Amino acid sequence: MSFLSISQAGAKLRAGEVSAVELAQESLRRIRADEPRLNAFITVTEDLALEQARQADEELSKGLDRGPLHGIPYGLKDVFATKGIRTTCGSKIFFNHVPDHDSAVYEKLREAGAVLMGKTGLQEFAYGITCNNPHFGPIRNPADPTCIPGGSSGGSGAAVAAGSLFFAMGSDTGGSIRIPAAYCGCVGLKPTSGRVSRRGVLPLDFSLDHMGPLTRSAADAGLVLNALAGHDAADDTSSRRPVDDYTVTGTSLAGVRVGLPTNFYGDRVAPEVAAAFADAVFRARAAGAILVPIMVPDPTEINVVSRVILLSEASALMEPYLHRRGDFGADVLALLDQGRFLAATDYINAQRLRRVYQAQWAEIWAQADCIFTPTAPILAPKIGQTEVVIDGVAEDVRLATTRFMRAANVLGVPAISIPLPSNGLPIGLQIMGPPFAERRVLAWASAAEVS
Amino acid sequence: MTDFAALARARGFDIPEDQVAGIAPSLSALERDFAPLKAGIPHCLEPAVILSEPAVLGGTGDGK
Repeated sequence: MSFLSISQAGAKLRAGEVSAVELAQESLRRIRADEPRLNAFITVTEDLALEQARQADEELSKGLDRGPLHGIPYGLKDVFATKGIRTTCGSKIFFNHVPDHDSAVYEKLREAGAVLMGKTGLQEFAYGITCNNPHFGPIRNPADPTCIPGGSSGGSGAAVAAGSLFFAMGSDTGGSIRIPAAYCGCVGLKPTSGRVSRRGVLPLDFSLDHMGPLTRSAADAGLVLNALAGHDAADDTSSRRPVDDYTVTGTSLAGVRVGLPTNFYGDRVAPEVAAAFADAVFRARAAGAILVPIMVPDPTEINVVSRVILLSEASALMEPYLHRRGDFGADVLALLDQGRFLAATDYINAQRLRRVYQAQWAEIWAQADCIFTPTAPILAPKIGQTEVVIDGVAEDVRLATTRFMRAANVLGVPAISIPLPSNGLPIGLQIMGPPFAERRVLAWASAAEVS
Repeated sequence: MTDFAALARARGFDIPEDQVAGIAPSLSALERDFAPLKAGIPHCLEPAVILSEPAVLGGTGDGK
């Protein structure tokens, strides 16, 4: 039951083969069984889950069907405000923070009838990729508990991949949805900037934060996005652009121009990742995709700009708390300290450069419908590992992990990670598309899953 | 190259010296990598502080 797709679980609900309460109970059973091993949750909302599930069953019995997410168990990364439910941001600073309001995402998922099972664990303040959290303990990878799940949405990725949840929400500032998807072996979608409201989310950054789902298939991600997408007048960055129907129907790569970068994305890639990516490209071509070699504007520069923006904005955001140095983990504090040294002129120029790169990439989208890259160039590192060596070059684990992902945040374009066949640790394929092309990106991702 | 320890003292940051020394290499590397990028910015280009569409992101819907 736990590894059914959302559609399959929904079909069983509507056929009377299972109830929403039974789905929630099964989810709770798996959470209880997995928590000692994974530590994926900060708060399990058992009573609320059973209450929401009972309501879902009652509504269905009366003919009120809220759609594909009705009665489906899910989790929220512990940055999404939930009224009356502790929302910690994985931090000591907000350890006892109980919001008096709901995030827009929680409002929309409740309206869609989904059943909240709990708040998932994360990197402290969503600032980093290991999820080795000093306040709540390390989150572990279900594929190998000695490895990190990736982050910062690591609890969401671990719980979805382990089958405890049908989907979970994450936030992504430099890969934080796609990294755990790649390392844990599930799907992670970072939508276009402005597509999903950020209202009521404890932010890490103002310019680069995105909200999106982690699921077990691209089709499921489309169903969740259907519930989330849309303008929110209370979020200044929310897009007024009309919403598409993100339901994945026909899936084919035939005739799709798949851009394959000839620079950067092949540099210092672990052999297992390179082999899995080459196989994915081979299968895409066999499925009818038109492979387009493309020289992309140097993402090294974009990564530098991304770091200037993130360091500056995160430190500005956290400035009121920085006198409580002992309440931060050492890794996060080091990043927050770095941000205090950057010049305002550098921050402004980084934001100006973002426009330059967006204009350059607009030309890329004229040549290709989408871009395929490995999501991360390495496999999930061990818990506590700080450095990785590829092709004889030592690299910081955080910078190596995020190397292929930061561009999508700076550019604001949609990007999804889907699992590739692997005999060992999970490996992700990243598909990036033009702004607001989620409908097509999801369809191509679904086609790539089955090709 | 910036002397980050001196900068921390001048600005009154409450960061212990050993911790400033710990982050200085990262800051120096970032400073070194970012400096040449600024040279290519068109003079009148405004910052993309908020990614509100459509001016910044472009496109006409559905990515087309």
